[in-house]
Amino acid sequence: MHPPRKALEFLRWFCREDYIEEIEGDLIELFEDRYDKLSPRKANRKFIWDVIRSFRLRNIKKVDLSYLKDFIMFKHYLKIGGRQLIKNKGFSGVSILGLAMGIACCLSLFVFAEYESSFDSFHPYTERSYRVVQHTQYVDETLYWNTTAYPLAEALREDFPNLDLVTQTAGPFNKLLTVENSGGNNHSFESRYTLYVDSYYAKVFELNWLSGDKNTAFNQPYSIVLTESFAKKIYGGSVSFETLLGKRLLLEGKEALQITGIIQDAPGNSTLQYEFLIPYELFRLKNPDPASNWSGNHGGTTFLVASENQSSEEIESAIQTWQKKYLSKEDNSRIQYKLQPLSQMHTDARYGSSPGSYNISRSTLINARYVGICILLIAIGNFVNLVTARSVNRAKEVGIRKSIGSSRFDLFQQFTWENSLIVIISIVFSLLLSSILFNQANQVFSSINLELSLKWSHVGVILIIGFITVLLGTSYPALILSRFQPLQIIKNRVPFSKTRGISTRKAITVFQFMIVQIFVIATIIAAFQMDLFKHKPLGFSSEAVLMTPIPQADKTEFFKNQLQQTSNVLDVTIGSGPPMAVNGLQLGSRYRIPEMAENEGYETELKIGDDNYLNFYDIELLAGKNFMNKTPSFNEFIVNESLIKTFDWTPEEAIGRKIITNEGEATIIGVMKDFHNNSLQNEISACILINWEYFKDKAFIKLSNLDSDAIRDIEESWKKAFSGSVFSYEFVDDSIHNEYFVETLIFNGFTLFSIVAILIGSLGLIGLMTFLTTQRTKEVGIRKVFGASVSEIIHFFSKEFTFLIGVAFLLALPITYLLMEYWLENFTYRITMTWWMFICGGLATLLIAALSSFTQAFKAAYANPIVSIKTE
Amino acid sequence: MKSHSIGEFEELVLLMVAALHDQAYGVSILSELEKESGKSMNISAVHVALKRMEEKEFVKSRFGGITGERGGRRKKYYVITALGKQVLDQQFTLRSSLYNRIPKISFG
Repeated sequence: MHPPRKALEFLRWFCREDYIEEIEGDLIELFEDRYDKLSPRKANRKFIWDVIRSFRLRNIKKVDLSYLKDFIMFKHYLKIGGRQLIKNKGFSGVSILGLAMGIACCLSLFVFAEYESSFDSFHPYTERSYRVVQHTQYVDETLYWNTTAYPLAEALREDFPNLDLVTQTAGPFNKLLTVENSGGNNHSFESRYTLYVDSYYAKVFELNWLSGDKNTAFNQPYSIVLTESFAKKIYGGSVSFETLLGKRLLLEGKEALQITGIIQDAPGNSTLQYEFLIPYELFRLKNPDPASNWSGNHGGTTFLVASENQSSEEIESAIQTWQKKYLSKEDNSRIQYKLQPLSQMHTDARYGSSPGSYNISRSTLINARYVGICILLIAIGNFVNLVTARSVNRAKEVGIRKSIGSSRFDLFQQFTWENSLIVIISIVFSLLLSSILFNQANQVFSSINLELSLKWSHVGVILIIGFITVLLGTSYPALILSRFQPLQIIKNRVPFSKTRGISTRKAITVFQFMIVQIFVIATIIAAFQMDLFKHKPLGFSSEAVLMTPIPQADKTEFFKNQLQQTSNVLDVTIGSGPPMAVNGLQLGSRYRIPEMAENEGYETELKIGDDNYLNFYDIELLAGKNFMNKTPSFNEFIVNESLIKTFDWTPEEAIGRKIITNEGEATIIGVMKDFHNNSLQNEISACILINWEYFKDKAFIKLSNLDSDAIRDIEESWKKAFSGSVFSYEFVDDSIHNEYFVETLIFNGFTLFSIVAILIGSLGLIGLMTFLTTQRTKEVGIRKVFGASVSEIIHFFSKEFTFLIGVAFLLALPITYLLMEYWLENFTYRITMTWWMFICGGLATLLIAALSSFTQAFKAAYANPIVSIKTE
Repeated sequence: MKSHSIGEFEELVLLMVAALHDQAYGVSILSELEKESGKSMNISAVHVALKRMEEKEFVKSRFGGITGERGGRRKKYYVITALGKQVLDQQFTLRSSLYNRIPKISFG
């Protein structure tokens, strides 16, 4: 027996304390009476009625109305603030736009940095998962590998039972997948990211299964697990994943694989990219030699999950003493296995990027955040300047408010609220701006995927940015405004204490333009460096060269013949890759002269090319001659200058010498002039060109024009030669340009942000100038009456800003120099900074600032003095 | 000086407080009134009347002890004050004197 809870709660909520005892007691007693005498339902109903009837003014608690005063004042402040916004549309627009751009940039950069730091952080045991990487110590250098020998995983699993999980992968490789249709009408699909994984993989890494059983999917060697998008590519977008299970696909046209599962695509922020997964067991069956070989390093990767109480150092040192069991004596002395936390795979550039992904260094991400903060500070500085300048207009209001009893704190509150209103509107705008920016960025750089979401990390960043903006942007103007003395205002004196108010503003302007100029000068210098990447002579010519794979080596001649009958084709060569290594593909070897011991020697790149390779790419020979054998053989080496420098040979001396590589011994018949065989971040390295029969898996075709017809002709010839395979091509120039993905990303971002910085700065100047000129209309009129010329008046207005920008320039100089020197040190081939780059930046800023402020000054200078003096 | 006026319902409640002497609290007053008048009333009306009269100092109140009933809430007992009694007397005198002035003849 209990009266209706809600009604009772309501009674207790509204009833005043000195009445509640009696009223509640009486009501409950009545309820108890009625409960017995009438019925529980009636009792309930009557109780509720009694409560409602008791809800009268007399019984209600005394409401504490004092807080309403704050609320009413808050409403009042908002109303006044809103009116001010609407009344001064131009001013509000300028402040909101500037602030919104600043906040948007800052927010975007933070979200970008957060996205880049989120790589590989979503796996089940991220905290204690490691990739096993290999450090190989040679006499002259240490090589860093993100791959290890294939048998490593199994050996670790056997000998280190206290590791939670160990998994082995192979790849990603380039593979062809064929769907057999009835009637022999087969379709083939090429995948660049075919990954072989063992059954432990699904436990170490997060795979989201759309269909199929994750526990058994990798049990049979002849199985295949497709990603969602690849399945849709093969079977069409509307296919039901359940019906695909059990279907057959041909790998490389030979092995029949059964589909055992469909998983979601690897997320964009995953270093490990794949289009389908095939059991590692199949790889082992088909490649027994590499799979059991401890001395090679051919694209296998081992991941392990340490148990909870193990540190990575413990495991590393345990492996160090254990590895001699398997490694040769020589390998044991120079190979060190290290454990790299998954979260560092994306940010540690030493090991190179995995296919389909890229590296971005931790310091770049930190710098991105700094850039964001700088832009935000410019925007805030701008806002403070504008608001402070305008505050003179509000002086009368402040005077009156103070006379009728506003305290300084009240006024401080008022202006803080008013400016916070602008900040909040700007934040809303900035959210819009940054989502537009993300859309653009995602389109331009297909491999990144940025978006704003309601995640805590994003909301947190927005809140913190908002808080900082409100704090820095509103407190100073509010402080200035609330300091005005009513007596002075009523005496019609301009309430600025000339020295202090203006000097703070000057400092802010100098600071603002210092950052703007750092941005502008840095962009100019970076542009020159990017231009160097694009246009530096590489020592070979790759203009209009198309690169296409050769899936079957035996058909190469046929393909070449086909091409020669095609118009638009100027020249053809076959080889392992273009002169500059692209897409991370480079054949590595070691070389020595016969006099050296077997474990000595140096790193070199092996480049495979036919007898036309040198002519095709216009690579100059310093001595010797081209390949003499028309047929491929492993007895002639053409080496580059860098290689012979290690032995201090002149090109002529080098001819006829013998060189031993891991693959065999041959004679040097020619010396090539150095060309850039590595992208420009790195130095030219030793390189040996061989006309070998292996690795000639790419054809290079020089075209006379680049229209789609030409490419269609090539595709036709290609299909005649390699039926059943999928044609794909890329232009060598594009691939080379892709080597600078991260640099391009940074540069584009930087350009955008400098433009924003200039825009914000100019907006601020326009605002300030408009204000100053209207303030001094009368002064200008009088000056003109006394004979001042237009140019003198413009000078009068602009000299201060010119001076301030000059000071900012002097401050920006050393900072920019140091920053850019630090950045350029990353590159082996870099521009040198010259004085005129700095001057250009300074002048550009000055010019833009001048243009934006002079329009206002002109207006003031050309105004008719009679009008301006007459108006009161 | 508080006003000595009294409303009709208040007067009924005051009479009941006086009649119940020391046992008058919200529910008892309500039930007695309902029983005597045969009409149903709402407890909150009684409460309001009591509060008003307490402010006018016609009644005074004290709390009773805690019991298991009434959700553990104490009863609030009301007793009539001298002033209250005086008001009742005045009302009674007023009414009876008026009553007595009714000419017998009218209802002959």
